Amino acid sequence: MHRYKEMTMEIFQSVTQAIGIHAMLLVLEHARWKTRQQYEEAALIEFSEEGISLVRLEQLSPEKTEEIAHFFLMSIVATLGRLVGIQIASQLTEQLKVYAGES
Amino acid sequence: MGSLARVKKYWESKRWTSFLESTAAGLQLNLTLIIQYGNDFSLSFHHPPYCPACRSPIADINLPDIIISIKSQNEIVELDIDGVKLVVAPLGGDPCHGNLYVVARELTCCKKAAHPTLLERAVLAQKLLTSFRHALNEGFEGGRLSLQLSALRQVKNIVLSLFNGEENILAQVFDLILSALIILSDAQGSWIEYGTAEVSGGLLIKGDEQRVKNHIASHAGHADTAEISNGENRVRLGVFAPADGKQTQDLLNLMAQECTLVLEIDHLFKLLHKQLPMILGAVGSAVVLVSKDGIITYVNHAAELLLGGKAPNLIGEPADAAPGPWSACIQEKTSRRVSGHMDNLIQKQELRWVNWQVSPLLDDEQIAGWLVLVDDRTDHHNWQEAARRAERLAVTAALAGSLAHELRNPLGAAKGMLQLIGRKEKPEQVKGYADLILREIDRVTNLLNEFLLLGRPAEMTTEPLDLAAFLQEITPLLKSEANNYEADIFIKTEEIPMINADPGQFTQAVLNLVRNALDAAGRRGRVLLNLSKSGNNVILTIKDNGPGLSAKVSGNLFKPFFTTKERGTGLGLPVAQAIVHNHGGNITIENAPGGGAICQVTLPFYARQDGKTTDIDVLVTVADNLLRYPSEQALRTAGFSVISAADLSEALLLKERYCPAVLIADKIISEPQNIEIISRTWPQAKTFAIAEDEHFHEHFIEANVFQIVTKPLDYVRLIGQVRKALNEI
Repeated sequence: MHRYKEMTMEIFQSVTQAIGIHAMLLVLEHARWKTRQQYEEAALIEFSEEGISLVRLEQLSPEKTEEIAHFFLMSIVATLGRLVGIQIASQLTEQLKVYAGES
Repeated sequence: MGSLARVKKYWESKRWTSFLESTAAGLQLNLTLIIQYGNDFSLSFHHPPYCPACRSPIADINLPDIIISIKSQNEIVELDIDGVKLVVAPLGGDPCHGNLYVVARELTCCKKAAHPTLLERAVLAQKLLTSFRHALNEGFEGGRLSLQLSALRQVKNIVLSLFNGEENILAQVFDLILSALIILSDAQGSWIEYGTAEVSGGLLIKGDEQRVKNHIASHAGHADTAEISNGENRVRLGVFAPADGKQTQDLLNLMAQECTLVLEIDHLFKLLHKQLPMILGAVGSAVVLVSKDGIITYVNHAAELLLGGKAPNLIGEPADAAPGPWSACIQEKTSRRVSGHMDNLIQKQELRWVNWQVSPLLDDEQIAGWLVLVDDRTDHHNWQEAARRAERLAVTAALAGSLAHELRNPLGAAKGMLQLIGRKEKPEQVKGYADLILREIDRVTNLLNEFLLLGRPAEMTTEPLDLAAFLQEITPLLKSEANNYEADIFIKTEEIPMINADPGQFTQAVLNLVRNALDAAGRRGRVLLNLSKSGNNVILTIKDNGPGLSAKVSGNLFKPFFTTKERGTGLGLPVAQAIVHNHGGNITIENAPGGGAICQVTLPFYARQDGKTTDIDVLVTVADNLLRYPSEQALRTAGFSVISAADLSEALLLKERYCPAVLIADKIISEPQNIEIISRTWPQAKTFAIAEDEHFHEHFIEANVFQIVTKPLDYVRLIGQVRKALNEI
């Protein structure tokens, strides 16, 4: 789970620089909405202009938490793929795969 | 992703499948979900995959068999396919997520024990699943609208930046709107074309740029668009390959409206930015706007000319590129308005006189920058200087005329006396004339000093004077004046107390007033002098039987150089007034009841206590004549009894004769030994200290002064302060 936290912060910082904080907040809101369609518990994901917090998600089981976090991140990546180009999204997806494999 | 595939993904969400499994288990049914999107059907899910009792697998249903019955009617249908009983129940749907059907079958081993019937449980399953579908859809819609609101909120945040003077806002807003369209529609790209009916503003593309361009050029691929006009602004917004058409169209319309609004705001701002320099450019004063970072953001034309000596283009430069005292205020980040005067601003190698002002520009109590106004007053200053010079010349000329007039009078009187002497044969008839002539000659000498009364104080030599005797003494002089007019003059006196007066100055005053009365009475007129006592004052009235005063004349009588006479200088009455004021008295001239005019001179006499000292209101002990004299005059005019001294030693000479209630002193009071002397000599007096500057305040506090008066003196305020002090006594 620690890796997901790092991943979300990295994504937040790098993507915010690329697309601006206003669009980033919209991407995050959209990703959380998408995730909530699958997992009601995604409501526990929090974010603001300072960053993303998965702390409240950790009250769930570790497996469930990682499942939701992964879905959330994949939703972000999918949106970014359309917004900033397939190449960056692919890089992020590869990174996610690495993280998922390590965890 | 194809439309049916997208819809299937939605209905295969963990939440939906989990609910479906619970329903199937609870009702002991095998439930299969069928999704219809347009004319496409798909089996989505069935549960349980095997019989919970015997663990034997449950086969998938044959979709084509079911489709026929679904297409034929939209209600619950009971089917028997190859001996297996099925109930097909519609769960409703929406354009975004298609129509749903649930197919209910008995579980292999439980069908006989199950109760109620398959149909009854299928209807129950339909109700439960329909309700849950509604809840999911409402949650979905709510989330979608919440996302739209978020997008609009973010747009508003950027638009607000426009008000903070940020640049390129339009591009930022459009970029965000295009991003929002891609995010919210799950689209591959978006674009905006904007402008007016005549002029194209631009084309911006977001996402898959190539495919969007292809679509715009040749309509390749699917896209939804919205076009909207608002006033002159026209916006065409497009979303390429959106996941859902209906929802996207609503979103497009919403965002297109937002775009026109933003264009309108941008247009207004551009207009404002265009108008502002025009307005400020027309202002004669130099206007400089400085940002909160101390950078010059705007200068008007006047500022460029006045301040742009070293750096003609001041915009973008630090505030001290326009050097002046205002730079320090900005460096110190002043939060209040500061103003001042500068007489050494150099513009094109010329010294300029300027008034300047720095005002903070506050945004919600935070400093957003500063406005510097610099007003070039050089021309005004030069004009004022020229006017002052002209005025001084005029005054000098008038004074010269007045001097001649005033000198002529005593010389004329002396001449008249000499003529009278020539006519008298017996020496005893001219006894005393020589003294009068000498006095008039002395008066000529004194007159030069008397003139100075108008502008600066003359030294008075006061002595106890019996006014009644004094009038008798100068009666021949007055009669001589009356002879010139062939007029009659009458003098009536009563016993009155002595006053302190300078006989020389007083002769001048009485003569001026009598001459004025004789002038008014005209030839063969009558003038009556009456001396009486009223309260603590001696009253001298001089009444004539002339035509009286017009409204215009009565308001200007004591104004220097105002005269109604052909050869008058207009200084007779002002000099008389100055002398009376100098003696602590007052003078008025008004129309007398029954005709003519009456001049009333009121002079205070001081009641002696214990046969030694006289109570007076104020002792002014100030070294500076230009400060002492006007203070004294102002207080006397206000009705206070006042004596004055140039320094402490002079004031101490008066201690045997006067007992002041208020002592006004300058810096002498800051000397410790003087403080002791003053408090010992006049222990009851309330002391007013005149402060040179702020540094003297500390000394005065040590000296236990009653009141501190700062320079320049506000005489009206001083009178009020003295009155208050006397009231307290």
